[in-house]
Amino acid sequence: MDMLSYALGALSPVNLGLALLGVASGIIIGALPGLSATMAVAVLVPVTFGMAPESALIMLGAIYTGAIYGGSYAAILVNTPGTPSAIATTFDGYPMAKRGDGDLAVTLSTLASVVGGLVGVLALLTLAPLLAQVALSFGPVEYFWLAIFGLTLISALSEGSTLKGFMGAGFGLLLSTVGVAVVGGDIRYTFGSQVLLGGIETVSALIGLYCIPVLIDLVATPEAHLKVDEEQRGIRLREGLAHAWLGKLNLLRSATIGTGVAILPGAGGSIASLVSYSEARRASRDSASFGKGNPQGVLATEAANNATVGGGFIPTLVLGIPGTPPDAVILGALLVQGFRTGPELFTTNANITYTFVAGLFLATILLLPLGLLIGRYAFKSIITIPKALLVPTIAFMTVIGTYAIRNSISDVIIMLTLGVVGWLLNRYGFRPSPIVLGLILGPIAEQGFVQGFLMGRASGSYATTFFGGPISLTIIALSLLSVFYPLIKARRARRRGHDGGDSHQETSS
Amino acid sequence: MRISRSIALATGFGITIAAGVTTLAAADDFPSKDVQYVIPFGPGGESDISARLQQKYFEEITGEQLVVQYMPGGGGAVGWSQLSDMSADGYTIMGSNLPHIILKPMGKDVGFQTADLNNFFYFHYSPDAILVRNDSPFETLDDLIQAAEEAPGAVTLSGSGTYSANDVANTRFQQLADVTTTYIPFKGTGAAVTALLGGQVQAEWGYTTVAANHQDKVRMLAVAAEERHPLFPDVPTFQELGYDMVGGAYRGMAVPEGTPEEIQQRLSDIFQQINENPEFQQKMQDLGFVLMDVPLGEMDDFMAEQHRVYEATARELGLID
Amino acid sequence: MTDATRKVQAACSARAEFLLPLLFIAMSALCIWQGRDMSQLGAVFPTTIAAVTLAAGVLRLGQLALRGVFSNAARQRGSTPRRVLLVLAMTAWALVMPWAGFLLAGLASFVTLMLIAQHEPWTPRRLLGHLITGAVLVAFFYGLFAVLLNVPLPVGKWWMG
Repeated sequence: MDMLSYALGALSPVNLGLALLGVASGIIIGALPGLSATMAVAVLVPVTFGMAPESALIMLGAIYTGAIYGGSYAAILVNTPGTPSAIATTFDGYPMAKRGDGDLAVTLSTLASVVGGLVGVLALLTLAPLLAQVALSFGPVEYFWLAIFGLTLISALSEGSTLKGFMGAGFGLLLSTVGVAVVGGDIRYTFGSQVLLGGIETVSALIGLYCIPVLIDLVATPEAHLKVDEEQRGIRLREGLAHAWLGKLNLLRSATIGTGVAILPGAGGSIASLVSYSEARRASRDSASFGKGNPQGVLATEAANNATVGGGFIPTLVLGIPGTPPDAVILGALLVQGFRTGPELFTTNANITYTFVAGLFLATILLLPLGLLIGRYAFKSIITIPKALLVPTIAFMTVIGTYAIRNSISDVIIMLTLGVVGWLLNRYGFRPSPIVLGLILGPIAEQGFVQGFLMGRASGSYATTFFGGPISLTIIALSLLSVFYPLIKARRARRRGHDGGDSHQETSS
Repeated sequence: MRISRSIALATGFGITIAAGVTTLAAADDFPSKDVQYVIPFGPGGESDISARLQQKYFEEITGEQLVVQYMPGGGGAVGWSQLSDMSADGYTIMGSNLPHIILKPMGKDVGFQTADLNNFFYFHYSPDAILVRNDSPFETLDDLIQAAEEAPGAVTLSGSGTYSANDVANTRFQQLADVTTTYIPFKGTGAAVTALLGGQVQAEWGYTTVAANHQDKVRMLAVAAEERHPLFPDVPTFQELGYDMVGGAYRGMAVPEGTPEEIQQRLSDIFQQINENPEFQQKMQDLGFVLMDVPLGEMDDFMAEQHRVYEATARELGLID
Repeated sequence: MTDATRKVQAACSARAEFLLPLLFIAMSALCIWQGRDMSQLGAVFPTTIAAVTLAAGVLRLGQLALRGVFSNAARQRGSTPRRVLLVLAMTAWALVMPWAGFLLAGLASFVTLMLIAQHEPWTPRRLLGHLITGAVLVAFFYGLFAVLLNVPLPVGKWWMG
């Protein structure tokens, strides 16, 4: 198979132009809260029907890559994850922007996205059939334990009181059960209201919990939204590269985690970036500064979420099971075009597959110049626009973005309600992140648990069902480690340092 | 504020005129602009794929675009409960699915009634089927039934959702074959087939479309269609094996209450014309769908018949007394 | 370790620090109580979660009672009326949009929010400049969503007759 010739095929001027256009529009769509990568891809599908299949695939891949990356802008500059996979980017990106390092954060996000994207595509190119089998070994029970592992991040995400983190996560988990249950079919906690029947849409909840509090505090004071330094510093590429070089292990680890999680069709980009964020935090010597604007936090999440692009295509192309929601749309487009997924994608249809992979490579590399350029512009406009225009503009994006997710005014009302609740809770020391974690992991945990329960009943042994598999046991061990590692680390630090300076006072503001 | 008010007035005025013009437009030049096609599910599912296939031919016939939108949530309830609020001019149509629209509102309030949906055309269905992995010990349906008889509840079947087409099919099958199986609901057909491929369940309630999609990895034991599917001439129907089961997930389109009769008829004609396109037929068949024509004129009888069938099953499921 | 360092610093007032766990306990209790009407499969997860949340709330109350709380004097302040106005304006926007249509509701809300967010005095030039920018932005979003992305934005029931 002469892959190089396919790669060169992707480089025809028309395809290059399409990739450029796709990445640029993807970045803009992804940067607007509410406009997700799924939507960007879905809108494009009918346009691609009239194109040559290769060009269509290149454009779809490009817009997807751009949109996942673009999500980081809103996360860094206005504390709103433009796409769910950018949640963890807000943790350090927004504090960086607040203190005047927004330009650096955007540059870091660009560099990390390129690295992550390349790792993901490389995995797709070389290991796809092998890794696809891993996806299948994850059943309901494994997903249940994965969700539990995810929930152990609560203690990492709740600065201050862990108990508050638990309450917040409990609130999020309960929110996730609102609406019609997948398993059992009950209508739960709608209190007779049809507004809540469809459940709480994750992205609108994200917009509400993260962005509305920012808006509420923005109008309260005359101070500028972000701190701005007087001197012009350009895109701070050199500084960014230095951070990236320092965090090269972090980047690779995060990209690997991102690829790995994306292969699991039930997980997705948000979990990938959260897991790699907490791993970066755990591995760091300076874990206390995570959440307060540590550049490594931005590197970790952005490397992970762009790695999900390539990783997610592994089950999509090999098994015909979409790894992420945008993959589902692309898979649909492939089916309509008359392609069959499966082994023949790498044999009889190899030309199309390899052109597509080459196109993803191309799109990822195009992220670097385009991302730096558009990012610079986005940063500049956010810091120069006067507050009286910034507030209505952000408000506009939240309302129209939430509405556009499923064309529903109810979602806008839910978003605003959660925003006010989120602001109040935040004021009293309950961070939004545990709530969001619960909201995202809730359905995975619940469905995994109930399905595992039914499987256990059928097989006659709940214990072997839940604790029998090697993957389950590994994840359980990881969860235990995740819970107890901070304690071990703290004890070791105490033995080493033993300075009386550190007080046990909680700072849960 | 004054400026914004004048802009607002102008805008309002413009919209009023636009609305007036569209109401006046006669049915024979319908459609004169893009038609919004709302799918009450997420992207990538069968409703989406079949809509995407219709999209192309709709444009060929009418010269206007069919714009696919998604309004997922509550297993379709979010979309259907909002249909009555949408403009009843024929430019907004919504995917309509059986048995969902009958089973969902049964015995509980989900924001819409089956009668709220003005179905104007039903165009295909994907027949229910029992799928197993290629390496499964179950060679025939009888093997599976025998295993279920020996150990009631030990045979696990995955499927999409509770009170869904799959759940209904499993209930009917248990009744007809007089066995007990364990039905495990998943979120969507994709997740259900993943569980089958990964070996977490022994069989899956799916559709011919699933088998068409994963031809190299799964095979079907029986299909709940009247005739064998042309893609799978070796797979028997349930009826051949002695179980009176014909059914699956039916798909059509509906418009809001109050849409003019002639517009509905025109829409029905357009989609019938799409169904008659040989290229469309071939593509649908390759994906495992079975085409059917239920135009506007036959819709009431069709719905009444389906209602009768599913009411009986709903009783069995315990949805209604 | 002295007594003062063991005390928990409240995020806001000390009273609120006690009040919120109580609210979480009430919410959890309500969820458990509602769960009794659900099927076994549907109830098991929310009931378990609500129980854990309730336990966390009780533990937190215990912790606060044992260690004592002091109010956080350094908590952030700002103009509460403006905050309330922002929320009210956005809620009104969402409620009016289906009736007035996207463009009208959007323009009106844009101006209202602009007035709420402005802390400096208005000059005619600034007002005009902002209004024009606002109109351009609304038009841009409308074009992006309605035309390019095919989102069916509400036209407004008042105008549909």
